[in-house]
Amino acid sequence: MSIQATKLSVTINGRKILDDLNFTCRASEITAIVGENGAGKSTLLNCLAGVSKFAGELTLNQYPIESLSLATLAKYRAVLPQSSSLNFPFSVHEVVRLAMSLGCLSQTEQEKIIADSLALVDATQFIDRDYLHLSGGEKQRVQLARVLAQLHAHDHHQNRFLFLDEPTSALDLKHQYSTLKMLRELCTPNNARIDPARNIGALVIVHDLNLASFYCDKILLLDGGRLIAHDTPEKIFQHHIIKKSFGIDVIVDSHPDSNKPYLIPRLQ
Amino acid sequence: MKTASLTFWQLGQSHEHRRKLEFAVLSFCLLTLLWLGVSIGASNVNFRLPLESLYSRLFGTLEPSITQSVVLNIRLPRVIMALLVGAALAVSGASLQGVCRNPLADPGLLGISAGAAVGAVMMILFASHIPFLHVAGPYAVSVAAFAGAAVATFSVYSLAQVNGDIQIPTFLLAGVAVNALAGAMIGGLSFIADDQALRLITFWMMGSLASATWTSVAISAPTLAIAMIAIYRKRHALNLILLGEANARFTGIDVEKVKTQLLWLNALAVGVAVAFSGIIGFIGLVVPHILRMSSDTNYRYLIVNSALLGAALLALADLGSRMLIAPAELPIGILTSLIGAPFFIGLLMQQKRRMGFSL
Repeated sequence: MSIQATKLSVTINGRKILDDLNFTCRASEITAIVGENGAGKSTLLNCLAGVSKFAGELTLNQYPIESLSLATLAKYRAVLPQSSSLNFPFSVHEVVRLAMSLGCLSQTEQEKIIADSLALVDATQFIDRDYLHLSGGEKQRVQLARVLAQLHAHDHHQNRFLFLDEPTSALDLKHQYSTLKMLRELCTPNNARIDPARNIGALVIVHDLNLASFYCDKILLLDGGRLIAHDTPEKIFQHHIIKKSFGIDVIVDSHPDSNKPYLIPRLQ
Repeated sequence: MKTASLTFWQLGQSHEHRRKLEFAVLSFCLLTLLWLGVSIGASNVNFRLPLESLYSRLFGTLEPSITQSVVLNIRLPRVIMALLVGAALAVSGASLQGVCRNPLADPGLLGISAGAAVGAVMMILFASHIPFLHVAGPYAVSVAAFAGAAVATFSVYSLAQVNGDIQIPTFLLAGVAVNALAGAMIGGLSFIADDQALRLITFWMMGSLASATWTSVAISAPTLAIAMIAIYRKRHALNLILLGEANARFTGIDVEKVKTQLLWLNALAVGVAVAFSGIIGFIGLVVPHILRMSSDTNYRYLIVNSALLGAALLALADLGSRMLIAPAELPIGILTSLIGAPFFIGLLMQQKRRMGFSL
């Protein structure tokens, strides 16, 4: 019982962006938030992150989100926004270290977290490069490493959450899969490598439904601000549900390696 | 053996090493300029003078000569004022660039200095008409300059903000507008001013450290020090704001609060600096930029190094203003603008090339 939304609604300029959402996400689960463009995915993530106003109830580790200060929220969750712009020359090492500048970790602890986080996103080799000189996908991986570092730097006595808005949008095929695989391992209960005591949960916005199917425990399907379904990939990735929400015909089959469903759009 | 020496060499090239070197070089420059500033003057040049004056002041064995008292009561406060104002303007520029997430921000370009000058000039002109106020003297001018700077800062900032984001073209235009308005107000005020006040106003518009005294140092030093230290304490927030305001918020920074605090601190630093030295442009723009080219952007180092380099540069400029057309003096604001304006144009062209945005 770590994230709970009850009658969550967001109205902007008289338009309902999110309409009466009710769901629960546990730590140690990865939930993929999927839906068409404009379905309210990023708005939902901003509400969860505590930077967007909403009606209804939203709790994180049993605390109402609006009652937590930004500094406290930073200990319970880390957020990767859709895009991050940086106009000033920073080394990759420093970009990741910024995530921990408000904590009180020693230099050695910080260096270890920086190295671990960069290794998780396969960016160890960039550590001394200038962030501005990286490619789009490389920047995205470094930003993800920064977000992971923030999560590792804080309070290990609570369940913690990752809210990621399209973390794979600029990545090549190999890194799309390795990133989701890494998140999968990170969220696996009692993962000794990261944190023995408490669990990490993730809510990830992805557009690649196959990635969502292979690596996520739950799918949260939004359509026009309403929650259509919140269930396992097997339950949600069915022809009629996809047709209704995305307006396309798909062939659904199961992957020979894992029996997870995968989708191929029909060509008309 | 080869591996060991290689590792050592790499260690020597590390960021940490370069930062220490930079700090040492800047501190050395600062002390050298302090020495030169006290030794060199319109009347004579004597590099033993600072020590002699200090010795006679401390131990009182010798009757201080006229030159020595010139050193102690005129040159020394003036050089100290140059160091203080240079440091304050540079730190202000560095922090404004962080708040606006743009390397083109500078208290002069944004009209903050001009706003402070309006406040100071109004106080000079009207203080004698307000009972009891003339007693407050230099304090009143500082307070008025601070108020003027605050009004200018928050007007430019709110004008440039569109949907919670600073738009670069609007931001530079807002600076132009506030500068023009302040210029017009000072023009209007100088029209009604008498001769003596007119000379003072001219002083404000061109910048000069000639009137620095121990009293002005005593007022400005603690204020500027407090403002600079308070800005330094916001270094982590400034770094995180560079990553984007959303990211800063996600990392636990109350961005709006921090930005408001920083803008007030900037108004204080610039207001007090302008109250005692007039409008000295481009220090806030040039100093952080030079530092970013040579090492890095991290505010942990940028604030301290900006203070050191800003102090050294303004002390150098002051030396230039005293020596270039000696025995007359070139207003220091003209000197810094002569060097700073071409630098700014170069910076604009570089940004245009790199970011591809049109101004």
